[in-house]
Amino acid sequence: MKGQLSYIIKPLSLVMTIVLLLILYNSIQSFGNRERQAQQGLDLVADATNILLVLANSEDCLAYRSTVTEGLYANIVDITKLNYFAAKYANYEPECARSLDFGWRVTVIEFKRSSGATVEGSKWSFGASQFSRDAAFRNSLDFSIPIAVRYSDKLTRTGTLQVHLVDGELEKISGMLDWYCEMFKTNRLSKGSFQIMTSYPLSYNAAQGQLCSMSKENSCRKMSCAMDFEKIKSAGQYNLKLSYVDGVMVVNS
Amino acid sequence: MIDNINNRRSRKKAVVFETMSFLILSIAIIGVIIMLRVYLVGGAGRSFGLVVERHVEEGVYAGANSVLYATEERSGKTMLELIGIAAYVGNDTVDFGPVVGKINVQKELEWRFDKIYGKGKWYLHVPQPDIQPEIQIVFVVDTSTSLCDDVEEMAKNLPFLIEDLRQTRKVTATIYLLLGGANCCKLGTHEDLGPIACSRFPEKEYLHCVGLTASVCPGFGSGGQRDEDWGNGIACAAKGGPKEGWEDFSIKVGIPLSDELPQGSECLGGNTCCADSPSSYAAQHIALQNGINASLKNNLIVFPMRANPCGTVCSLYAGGQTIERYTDLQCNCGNLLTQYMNEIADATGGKMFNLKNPTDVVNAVKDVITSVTPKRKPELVAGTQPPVRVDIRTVTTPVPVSLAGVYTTAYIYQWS
Repeated sequence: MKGQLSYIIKPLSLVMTIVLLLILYNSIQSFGNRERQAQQGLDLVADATNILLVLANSEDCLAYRSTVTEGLYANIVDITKLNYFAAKYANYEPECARSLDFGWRVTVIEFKRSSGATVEGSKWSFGASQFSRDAAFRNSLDFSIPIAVRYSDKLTRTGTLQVHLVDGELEKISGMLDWYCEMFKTNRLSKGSFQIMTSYPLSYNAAQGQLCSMSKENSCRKMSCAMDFEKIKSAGQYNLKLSYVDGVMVVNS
Repeated sequence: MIDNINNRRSRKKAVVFETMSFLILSIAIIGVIIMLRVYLVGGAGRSFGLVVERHVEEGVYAGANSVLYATEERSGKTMLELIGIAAYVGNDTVDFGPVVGKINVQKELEWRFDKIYGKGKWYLHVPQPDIQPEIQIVFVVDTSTSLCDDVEEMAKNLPFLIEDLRQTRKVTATIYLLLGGANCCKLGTHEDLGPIACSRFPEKEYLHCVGLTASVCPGFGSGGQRDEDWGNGIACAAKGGPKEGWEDFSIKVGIPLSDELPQGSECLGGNTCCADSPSSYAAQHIALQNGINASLKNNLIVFPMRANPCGTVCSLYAGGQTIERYTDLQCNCGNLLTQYMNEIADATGGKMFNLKNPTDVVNAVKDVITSVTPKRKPELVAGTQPPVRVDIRTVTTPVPVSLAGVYTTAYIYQWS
């Protein structure tokens, strides 16, 4: 009887060991996924903060520079620049704070006092007007930072700068293409390639200079370079090959 | 038999070892899973928390800047400047005069921080430096004969008084002498004591004397009796300010010194006293009203001093004529003068002084200084006291108190 016990325990141990190893494998996979998700969320939050700070504090973006002291004031934005950005960048992100990983749109709201109550005053908005949709959309985040909108020496109003940041396939692909564009323009690269994953067909609208993801509704993003883009007709993984010919970025899949 | 026993023992040992091995393997795998959970996922979570906290901290700094550099729309001053001015005057409310009005700095900070940080999520305090705001005094002095003794006393003691007051605070005085300037003489001996003129007051950095002529005060001096017109005189002084000009947020004090109504107590040009009603002295009341209006417009607090009107005076006139006379008119018309002086004092937040002797001027000026010295708040406070056991983020910002040439610090606390 005791000898028979060994014959039961051996296979049982083997099965249990296999089960435990499966649990371990599954856990490693699951933790890996969670870590990747956390990392993506982390990148999104870090980028949101960086974009807001750059917009509010960089002279190339909205920051006010005093003509008297020649100094910049932290988080004080210039009304002239704000009006200019709202007019010029109504549909795409300004170069001064463009992210190569995410798409964003910001809204500036000022506050004022009216009849004893705090009310919203003027609003300005600029940045990308379309983002990845449906299956191409991964994550989004809304963050804000207080600013002051400076009209003149005698008038500066408190307000907020709010950013809507989107993580999606179209944003990643266009970000990579823009990065290569910059490398080509500055002669730091002559050709390159990278892999993409797309859930929808992709095409380039040369007239508008926009790369479009064709889900139920088209989502388009303005590109930094003019492109000769070979249309991607279906979802899937592609290896894009890039070169730069006569000021045009040639993209083949 | 022995072999059988040994075999059984060996198998038993093997079973124990197998079971132990399985247990050790299980514990190791569970340990690995726990470690992965703690270090991998926990680490990512901690990193996420750190990045979010960085955003929150940047938001708190940005919020402080956006509020402190925002302007208050009536005054055009930034909140930082307003805090500095509030620290100078030692009060949450700053008076910018009749055009802009009073601004409550605490309330201006509150609605902005409430909007940026959220109501009940912030607290600010600014310790007020120990500053005594500058006091600027303008005297408007009646130069008729009955003021000879009062002016003499003033000339003798005022420089010492101001010098003494300046040991603890910045005080300046400008004496405006009304047009005229009676030539005073000593009762009985008729010794020439000289005219009531600025030559009696030595010019000092903090004490000036100016004759209130038409060049100093355009329009003043034409028509009517001007040596006693302290109503229009105080209006001129309020508009023009002291010799150095009105300083921002100084305490502005006007002291008319006279024993008659503005433009004199003579009724209808006669040497009699009219009824105790302003309507019987219409021109005089208009002069008073001019003084009140100009004082209110320039934030001048008026402390009228009525010199003792009853007594004998001595004056020298051209050609060597000397007159000694009892000031019966001034003595008899006292009720209406008191009424007029109280009227301007009440309207401007001052107080009337009834001087019994010429020597009372010095004590009266001391009383004025005491009464206008504001009670200072030790600190400017706004928002809600921070609760205990919460994470508090702090921003400290230097606040220039430019009027005093010093700095204080704004402490801003924010919590979620």
